Amino acid sequence: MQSYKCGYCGLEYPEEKYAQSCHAFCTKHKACSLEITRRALNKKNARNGRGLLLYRKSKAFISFAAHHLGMKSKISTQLSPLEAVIMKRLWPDKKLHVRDIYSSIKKGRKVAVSSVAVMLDRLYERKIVGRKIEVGRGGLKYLYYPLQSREEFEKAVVKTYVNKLVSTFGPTAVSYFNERFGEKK
Amino acid sequence: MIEHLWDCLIIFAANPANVAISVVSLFFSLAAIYYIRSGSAKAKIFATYSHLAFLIFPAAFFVLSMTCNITGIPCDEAKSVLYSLLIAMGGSALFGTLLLPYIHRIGARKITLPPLLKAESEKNKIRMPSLYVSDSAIPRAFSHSSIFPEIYISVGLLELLGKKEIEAVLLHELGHLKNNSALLKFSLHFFNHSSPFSRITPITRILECEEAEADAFAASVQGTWKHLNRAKKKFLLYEKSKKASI
Repeated sequence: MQSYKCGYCGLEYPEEKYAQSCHAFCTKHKACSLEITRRALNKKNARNGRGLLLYRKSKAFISFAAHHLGMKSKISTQLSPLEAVIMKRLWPDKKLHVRDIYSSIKKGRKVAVSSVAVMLDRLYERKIVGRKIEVGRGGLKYLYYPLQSREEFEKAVVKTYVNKLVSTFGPTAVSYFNERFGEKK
Repeated sequence: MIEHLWDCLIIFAANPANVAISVVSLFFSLAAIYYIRSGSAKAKIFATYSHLAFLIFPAAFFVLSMTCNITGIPCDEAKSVLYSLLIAMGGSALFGTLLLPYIHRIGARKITLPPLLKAESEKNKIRMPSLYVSDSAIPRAFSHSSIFPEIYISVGLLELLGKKEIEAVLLHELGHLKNNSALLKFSLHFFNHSSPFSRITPITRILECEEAEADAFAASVQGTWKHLNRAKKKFLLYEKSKKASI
């Protein structure tokens, strides 16, 4: 017999319309409707709640981990695309002015000098880059430099997310890490 | 207390001379608004404080003329409230005026004034301003002349604008110093918060006119609006980039 699965809670229905309405309700309310789950084929899971809870938790964990540690590059998880580009210019231990960074970026992408200045100021506020005033040709200018190496920054990002995962999911996250890194060995 | 004040007011209003003085004072107060709307910058500043003085005068006159024949104590209380209010207002204005330059100077560096600005200051008989660069990446410029005339620009402004555009911004600020705009702005904001008649005064339009006058001064010295407009465009672009990045 063909069944249709709700993408959120995983309950199966004999008709597609029930699966769709269940998905819509689950997505909106983050919980199942008893009215709808009455028609589910595997409604035991829904009634006792444990199976559903485990399913939701594991799914949320997977999507969370996939979003933050998965497909995206390590830099872009913490930085906006333009910030990542700027940091790539600064990371080989360079000390650069706004104009230098702007002139190296503008060849590859359409960007305004004001956007680069805004991003550098934001990075400075987040203590990812440092700056000092330098007297040069054309008056005073900021000289920007990275406060951490790329490796240190990446480690900090991983540490932040692992701590977040452990604090959010507790034993589930720890057991997952054990499984994951146990397999590797 | 309120009953006592009411009795005092009746006694005060019973004297035609008191009423006449109060009405004339209020008339002068309203007449000053006309000069706030249409006078020169100096006349506007003078009119603003005259308006406030004439507006407060009937109340002050009433409080000071109150006799303590009825119950005694509340008159003294009312008088002490009036005195402390006047001392607090005057003290905060004086303290702010003296302290403001020192607050702005924290973390700022003094640099030499460009020759064009020196020449224009002498030509227009403006007191020679000092130029400071504040440690901020946000492009901004402002001026004040509380004790000495001073112009402040940020490092962000120097990074963002070209040489001619910076010159245009500095001339714009010099235009403000020429018109004494900082004091006018302060006076109008004070007026806005302390007078019930501020609603009928187009304060925003007056401030816009001040900005336009400073712009016109910068453009007349440079002989073109090009640099000033380009600087403004860059300021707007920065704001836009900042909003987009949040």
